[in-house]
Amino acid sequence: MENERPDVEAIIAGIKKNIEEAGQNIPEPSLSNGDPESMEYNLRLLNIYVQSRGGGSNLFIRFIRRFVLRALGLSGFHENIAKVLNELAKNKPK
Amino acid sequence: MKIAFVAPFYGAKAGGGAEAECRSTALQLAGRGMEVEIWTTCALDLSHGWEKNYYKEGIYLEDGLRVYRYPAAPLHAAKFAELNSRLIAGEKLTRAEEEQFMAMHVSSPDMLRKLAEKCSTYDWICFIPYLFGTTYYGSMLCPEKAVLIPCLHNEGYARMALVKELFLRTRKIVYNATAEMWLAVDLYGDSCRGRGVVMGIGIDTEFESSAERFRRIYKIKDPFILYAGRKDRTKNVHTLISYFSLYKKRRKSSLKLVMIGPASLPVPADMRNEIIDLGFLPEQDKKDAYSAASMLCQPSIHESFSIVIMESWVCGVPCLVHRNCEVTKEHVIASGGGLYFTNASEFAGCIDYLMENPDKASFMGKCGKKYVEANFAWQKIINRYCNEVFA
Repeated sequence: MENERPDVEAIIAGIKKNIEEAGQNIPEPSLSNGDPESMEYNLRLLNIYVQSRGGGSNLFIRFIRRFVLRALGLSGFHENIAKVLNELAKNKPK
Repeated sequence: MKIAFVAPFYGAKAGGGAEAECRSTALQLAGRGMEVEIWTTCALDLSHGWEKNYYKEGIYLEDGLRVYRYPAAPLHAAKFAELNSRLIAGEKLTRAEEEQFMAMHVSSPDMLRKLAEKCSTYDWICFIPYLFGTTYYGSMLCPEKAVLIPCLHNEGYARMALVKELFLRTRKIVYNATAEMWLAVDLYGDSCRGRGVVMGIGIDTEFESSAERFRRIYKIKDPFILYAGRKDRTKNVHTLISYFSLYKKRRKSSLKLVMIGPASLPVPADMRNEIIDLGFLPEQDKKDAYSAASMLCQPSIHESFSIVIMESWVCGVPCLVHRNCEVTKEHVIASGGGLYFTNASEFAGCIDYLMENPDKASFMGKCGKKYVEANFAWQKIINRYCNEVFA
């Protein structure tokens, strides 16, 4: 056994079979990465944030930025977040 | 042999995966006796922006490496935001707009001028990562010596015409994973395979860690799943929290979820004793946490490598990854070092399997360790750079 490696696909297939036979399906939570509404909401917020970057540094803009960051659950912003959210939205189930 | 690394950001304080890969690879190559120099901007890192200089322009000596720093080109924030948001929305920009975007996305005319003067003195010039003016414009100066380390993701930016030209002109391409190479082949053509080397990132395989020390310092006695990394939605941590909460509501178990790293996400009120957020830990404590964990969970679906998975395997701990991430799934299947899940039911099934079969879980951890040692130990990576990239 020590010279082999586990057959991950076979183990996963076994786990899926057990779930099916035992009727142990767990319903998906209402807000996950697969939730289209959640992703679209994030994208809308992100777009507001990105647009606001060019708007100077007045207090209102700062407030909007902070609101958006909190709504996204983020403590800091960088452009990669925009890229990743874009991909998450594209990958959402149809 | 004389090598240059060109990166938008560089330094021990620079956050980000590509920045860490650049610095560690440069230092390891220098440790092998190569003459390595860094060309970068005066900005600190992406999260701090590049509108203002963090460093003064000049030549620095950092960890024995010469670092050339030049100011980044001025950013027209409103225009950049407009182009960026259109790219985010999946819109195709015109050629002129793409060039405007790239010019503003961390380019440095001063650096380009100086690099043009000196590029003939280098044997190879490595550009990392793909989506920056430093890489796009810098590689134009010396395509015959250019090594692109793209850290490519499946994202709207990757579909820019300028990015395709970048991939087609560089002499060699170093990928972090096979899935990344196939993405490049899909987007830019088969030549990205012929000029490519699937390398990965070097990992320290000989660090010391202590499960007992972690449990003593942080007073955690129960078995736990570890999450290590930035805790935000882009890393799919909200899914981990919700799946784990559902698991706990259906199982009588002392299992906890311990999260380490920057940022935070809300935890349901009834789960605050089950999900423990320790925040950002010192490096040694992070390594001790790997050793103490029953398994590491990496729920992100956008990883180009995942150093934390490799470090967890070095400690002999199995990993649980999301099926929708081709890269991490590829690592898990190739190594036999863990399992993958698609939904809450499979997440629970995988946890049950690993917790109810400790011998098999331990064997998976050992297989993961062998995989890291065989493929990503620094000595192997640097040998491959010497023999397959700089040959």
